[in-house]
Amino acid sequence: MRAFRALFVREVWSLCVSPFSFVLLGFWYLLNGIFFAYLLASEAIRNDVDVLPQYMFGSGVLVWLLLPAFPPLLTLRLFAEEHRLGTLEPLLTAPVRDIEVVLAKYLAACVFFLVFWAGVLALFVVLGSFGVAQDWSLILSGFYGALMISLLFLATGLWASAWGGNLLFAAAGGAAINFLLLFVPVLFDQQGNPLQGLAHAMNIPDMVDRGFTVGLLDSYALAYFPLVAGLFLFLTWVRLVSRRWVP
Amino acid sequence: MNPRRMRLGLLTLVAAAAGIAVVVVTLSVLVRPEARARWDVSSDGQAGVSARTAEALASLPAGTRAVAFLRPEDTRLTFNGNLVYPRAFARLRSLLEDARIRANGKLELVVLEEFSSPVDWTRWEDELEREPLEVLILDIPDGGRRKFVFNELFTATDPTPDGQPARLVQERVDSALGDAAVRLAAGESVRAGIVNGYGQPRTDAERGLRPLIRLIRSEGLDTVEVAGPDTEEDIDLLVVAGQTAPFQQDDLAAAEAWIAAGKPLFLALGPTAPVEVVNQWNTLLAPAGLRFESGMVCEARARAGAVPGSSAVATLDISSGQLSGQHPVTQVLADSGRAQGLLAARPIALEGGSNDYLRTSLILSSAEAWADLDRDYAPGPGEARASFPLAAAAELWQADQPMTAGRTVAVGSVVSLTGPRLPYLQEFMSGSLRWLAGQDAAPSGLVSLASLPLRIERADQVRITNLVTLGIPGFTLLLALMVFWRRRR
Repeated sequence: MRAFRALFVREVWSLCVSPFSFVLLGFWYLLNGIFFAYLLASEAIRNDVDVLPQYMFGSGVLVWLLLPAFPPLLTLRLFAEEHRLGTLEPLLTAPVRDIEVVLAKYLAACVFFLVFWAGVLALFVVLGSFGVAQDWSLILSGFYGALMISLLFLATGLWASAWGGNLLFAAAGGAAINFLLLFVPVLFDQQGNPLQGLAHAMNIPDMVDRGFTVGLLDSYALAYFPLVAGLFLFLTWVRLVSRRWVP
Repeated sequence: MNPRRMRLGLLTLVAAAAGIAVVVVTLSVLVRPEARARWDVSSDGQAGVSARTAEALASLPAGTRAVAFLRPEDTRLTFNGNLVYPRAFARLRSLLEDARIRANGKLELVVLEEFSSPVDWTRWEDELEREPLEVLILDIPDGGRRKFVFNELFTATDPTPDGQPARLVQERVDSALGDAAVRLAAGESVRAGIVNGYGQPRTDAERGLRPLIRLIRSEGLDTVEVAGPDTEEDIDLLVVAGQTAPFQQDDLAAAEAWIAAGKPLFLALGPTAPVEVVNQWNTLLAPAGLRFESGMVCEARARAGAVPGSSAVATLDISSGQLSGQHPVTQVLADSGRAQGLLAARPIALEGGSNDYLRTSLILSSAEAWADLDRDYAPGPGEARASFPLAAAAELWQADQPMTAGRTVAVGSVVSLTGPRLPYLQEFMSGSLRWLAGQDAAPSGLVSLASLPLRIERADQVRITNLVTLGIPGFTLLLALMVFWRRRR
């Protein structure tokens, strides 16, 4: 446990002192800020500010374009860069369990990504400070849904990062998996499609739009994201340790 | 291939497949409706369907379908901007999904969006015999079906002349679904008898009573056409619209017995109804205190080109202020500011009658209207200006009577119930039919969709924009620069 804690702190610290992380954070805030300002000027929000959380955390196009792309950019260096610099082998041979390495890196990325979403939450605080009444139950419910999706996308990004030292592959691969997870079920979730049942069960925008952002928490959605994230963490672990299975 | 790499690959694949299998099996268990739990964390606790509706839907036979047709069709609601449909459809989607899950797998949900395949639209419209404006159809395997028009589920204000768009103010999806599920599960339905044997407009013609019959069916009532009130059919509601010949003796006696038994009645007589017919009904309705008067109510509206002498004065614009805010039929319309329209209406008087009846004027003309007696469409001698009741309701009010006892709705216009005119009176008619069928508990299921308009000063909005687009990102990028500079050193 001590090794895990040390690894976790090291990973969080390395993210905190990385200019790249802050540049990512800055662009995330900038794009979300522009989207937020645009929404405030829109007719829909001027007539009902209660739908703002739905746009910021669920129904907004920008959410579905940014969210799959940013987590892999944050996780790309976690394994891929270690691989590229040749520090992965020493790390995996250190007196720390492989699963602890995977979890420490993943949780560090999760903690740092929380800062990304905290900035979006701060936009609502800013709006509230100007005396605008808002429904905080919807905001927090939507925020929670966005965090759940982020947990999944960080796990896929970590898996993509574990495949070698190519940073571009790690980032693009992670983003590609995320976009596939996001949009392929939507394509197949159509009436008459034999795969509709499966696609509907994996339809992430649906879980968000008809669940988190309207204030409905569903046990399936709450289980889906951690379970699939856990699967990708397991696959990451398999990828890292499988070479030892065959002498 | 290197045998080691093959074994490695095989082992990796097996491990990955095992992990995927565990997750897929777990999720396939968790996704089943009976294994799911849902928590409503919204501030008003009305994000999902109620326990009553969920139980009612779960009691329906397996294979019940809810088909939603989500396409904006009422152009009145999209003037000056489309704020009603996106919000209404989003609400309908989330409630139906919640209903599907909580009905324990009994409900199959089909949502057709505007961008869905036209082939799917056509197939479902044909299969369910969908009519325009119907937004949701609940269909059970043995043939029971309940159709909902948009205005029945959602209440929206009209767009205003000063450029404000229509707004969604209330919805009753949950209670409507629950009521329909209870009735469909019990196999109960209210049967309306449409009288067609006394010179009524044709019931199979679009310019006749066909749209009205469609509306009655869309309200969940069964319809049967009968020659007169003296019928062998088992009916719960009598609908007489546009009668032009007086009843024969047996039908007159049956109508009298119907009213004496306190059964619900919908009656529409226009200004052209023969005097014998009007007199017959005035006699029949005397205990209820409703009386059809002579003449046609006209109203000059110079802005609309309806000047005295022109037949346009017979077209009456009914603002929400002219609707009764105290009666279940019109209360929602009055509260939400919905306007209605009437054409060629006869005045109705509320006078006399038994003390056993409550009488309410549902629609009033403006105080500038006159009852035109000589058909010159201009106010003449003996045609004083006044506010005339154009539709009225009566009901028995003793506590020991059934809820629908003596319920009668009288409307002074027939043209407004036919063909292209019906949409202008559709919401009033829906309310009337629900009340006559004893479904007026529905307003209790109304959920207010109070919107929180964003009211901030222009200067504040500029400050917010600067802060969120320049301040916060700029500060973060400055941090990145500082970190970069520190690491360089």
